[in-house]
Amino acid sequence: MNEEFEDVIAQLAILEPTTEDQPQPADAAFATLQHKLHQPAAEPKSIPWFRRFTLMTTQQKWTQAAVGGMLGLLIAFFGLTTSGQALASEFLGLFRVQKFAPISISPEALANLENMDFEGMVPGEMVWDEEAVEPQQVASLDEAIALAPNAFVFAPDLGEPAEIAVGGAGSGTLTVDLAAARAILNIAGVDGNLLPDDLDGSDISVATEPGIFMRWNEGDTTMVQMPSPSISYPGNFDPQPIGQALLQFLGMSEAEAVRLSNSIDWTSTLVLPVPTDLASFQEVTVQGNPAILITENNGSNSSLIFETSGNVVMLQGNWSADELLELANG
Amino acid sequence: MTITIHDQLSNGSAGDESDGQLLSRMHQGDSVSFEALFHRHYQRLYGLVFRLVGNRAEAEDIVQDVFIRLHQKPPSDGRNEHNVSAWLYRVATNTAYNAIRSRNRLWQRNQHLVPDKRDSSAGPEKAAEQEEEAQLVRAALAELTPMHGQLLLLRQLGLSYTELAEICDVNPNSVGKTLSRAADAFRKAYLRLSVHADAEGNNP
Repeated sequence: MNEEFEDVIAQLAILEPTTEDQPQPADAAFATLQHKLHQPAAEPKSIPWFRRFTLMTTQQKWTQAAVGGMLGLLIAFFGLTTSGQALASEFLGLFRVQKFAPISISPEALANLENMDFEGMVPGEMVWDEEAVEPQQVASLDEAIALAPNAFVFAPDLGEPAEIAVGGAGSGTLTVDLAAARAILNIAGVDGNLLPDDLDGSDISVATEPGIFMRWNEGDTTMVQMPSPSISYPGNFDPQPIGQALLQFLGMSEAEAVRLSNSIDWTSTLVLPVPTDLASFQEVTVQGNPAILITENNGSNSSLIFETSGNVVMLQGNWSADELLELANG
Repeated sequence: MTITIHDQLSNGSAGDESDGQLLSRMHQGDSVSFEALFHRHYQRLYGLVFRLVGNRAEAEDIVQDVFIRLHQKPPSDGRNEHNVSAWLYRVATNTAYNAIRSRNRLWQRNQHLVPDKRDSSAGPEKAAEQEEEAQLVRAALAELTPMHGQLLLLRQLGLSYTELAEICDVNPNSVGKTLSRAADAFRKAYLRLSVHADAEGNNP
């Protein structure tokens, strides 16, 4: 090996751990590991996927959750991010949530996705200009509205919330690594070549404004409302094949995915996967807006999601479908 | 007589087995094999991850996560089934790369906030220079593919070509060539970042 190579290896020596950087001894580390392995899971497996979706919205994963739909694939295996310069001249396409497309997925497909081992793979380099932080609690709804002036739509008639928080603003950009994205699809059994070659190196940006998060003890009700996230992408970016890949990724057959992806407006539609063994969905109207009502099969929990005036609203709790609708419609 | 896990590890009854054999026994629910794999790879995985993330607590957490994943979903038949070390190092490298890339921007913004800790006996100025250099080297590594970064760091850790071929899943005959390409990519990234850092230093 040549001298230049040896110089590089010598240069890397600066990264060696110093004395104070040594890890805890292996025995102690293994004891810590055992402790972690025997801790109960923070989120029991029995929580339906769609409820996890809404739960995500109360955490810093909101951006990913919100973005998940349209270029939902960008959520599912593109692990999406975004940029504050959403309308910079090099970006010609723009996505905002305007409608929802619930799709049924089989329990097997869901289990496969959950059990899939992506080995820490990321479909590109994600750079956050502003990383979405966990929502911060505030004292009153007035304070929340002052901090998130574009987010508030309404509050159900449940009295003072037990908790109010504001957060979720963020922006960043994902530069797509096509080889990595294809590898992730391939692991899921989907043909990675569905992704077009010119996707490689594309910058896909997302920006979210702060949202308002509320929780009431009654019915363990939670509500999230925030301006629709915006996703911008290069003008030559064709969302249709990516949408098809997303649908196949979620367990649809190729024929079904082709048919549905051709009928969806991927520039404004958020896909909501609903596992058929756990829940059912129906289209309803909330305050004059088309909405999706998802009800757990045992009837114990319902979720509503709709868009109004550029805002996405999600309401969920231990209510029957009729009760939740009544709550939402006031 | 009772034989404990530690006895088995120290007297070699687990230590003599290959990674693949330990993995097979893990699949059958043998916890001793998992512990043997942990002890066999812990220190070196930590060394690799620390070099990438530069932070003890974070490196320890990442290594723990890697073993949690190994415990929960050990690599199964069909995909490098018996090359456990390749799996471990790949997962660790990918996870560390995710960590450094996602916070790269933050680091750049807050460089001045990073406490100096390297060889502080050499004086604060020297320590600051070393820290800056370490961050530059790390940033250059972050621009490589994870496989190139992993190869370079494992070579720096002292692994032989044979070991590198096994761990990085590279053809033994092409290790040298791949290392050379990785070094070239590193030099270019480092040079570019150095020029950029100098320009920023001259134009605060």
